[in-house]
Amino acid sequence: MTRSEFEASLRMRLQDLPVSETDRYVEFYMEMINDRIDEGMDEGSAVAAVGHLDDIEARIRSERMQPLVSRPMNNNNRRRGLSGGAIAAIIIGCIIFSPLLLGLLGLAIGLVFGLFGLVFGLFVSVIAIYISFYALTAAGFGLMVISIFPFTTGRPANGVFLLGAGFFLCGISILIIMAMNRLLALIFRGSGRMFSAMGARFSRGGGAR
Amino acid sequence: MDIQLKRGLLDVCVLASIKSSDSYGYRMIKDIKPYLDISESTLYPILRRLESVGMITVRSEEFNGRLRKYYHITPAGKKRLSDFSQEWKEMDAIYQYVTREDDEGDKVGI
Repeated sequence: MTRSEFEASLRMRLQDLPVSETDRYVEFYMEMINDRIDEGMDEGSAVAAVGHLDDIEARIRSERMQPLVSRPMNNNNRRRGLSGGAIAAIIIGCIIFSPLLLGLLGLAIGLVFGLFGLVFGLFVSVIAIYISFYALTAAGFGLMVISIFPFTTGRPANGVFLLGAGFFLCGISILIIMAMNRLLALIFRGSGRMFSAMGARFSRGGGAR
Repeated sequence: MDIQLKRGLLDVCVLASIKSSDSYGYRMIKDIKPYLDISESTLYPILRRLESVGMITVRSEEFNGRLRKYYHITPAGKKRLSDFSQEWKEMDAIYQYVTREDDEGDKVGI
């Protein structure tokens, strides 16, 4: 086998390797062959002296499987996680900062309960408004019913007035109740989102620990 | 010879071959071969490893119209050689212990 044939064969066998790596291997073996030829060896013998291509390829591939620099043995024994010093620092920090931590905890609990109170207050107010406007609607109907009597007693102007007042009260009350329906839905949706967001933040904070 | 032991010795032999002057691959093989069996396929990964840990450096020089790589030992490589001398003394003490004579005057372990 000639030098060129050796080079071509080696390149073909290593074609799945990065080009720069193949170049490095080929360059190394070609230098060995050339050095032998320079010493007076004939080309065929020089090529044969570097070894069989099967062996060279197998050697290169097995070498590539190994790390270039082996890791120190004690790396495997290295402890993972927090050191004793870090744990001690955390414990001491907890003791020193416990008044501040307790204060912050109290503030957080107060905020949560305050929000609950606000939502509950809003809910109760809306219910109260509901009740009063339902009562107003009932009063409107009442006025409409009562307006019959002035018509029968010969006072139609009074009857018209009472009927108009009844219609007005019913109309206003129904409109306000419809608006309250929307407001109540908004309160429910908003408070639901707020509390689910708070829950998610709390669970994320717990999961990160 | 045990493969691991041979591997360690080859590293040291390669360093020793360039201890006094820079050398190139084929000459290294010729210098080491009388003491340890070494081939091109064996030498290449050793040179790469020694270069990666900074025990040798490489430079290319023109020779006969082509480039030839010359290897140079660094202070880290020299330190490895001096460490090896110390280790060898310890190895020798172990050898003496392993091959000491028993009560009947026979060599143990041989």
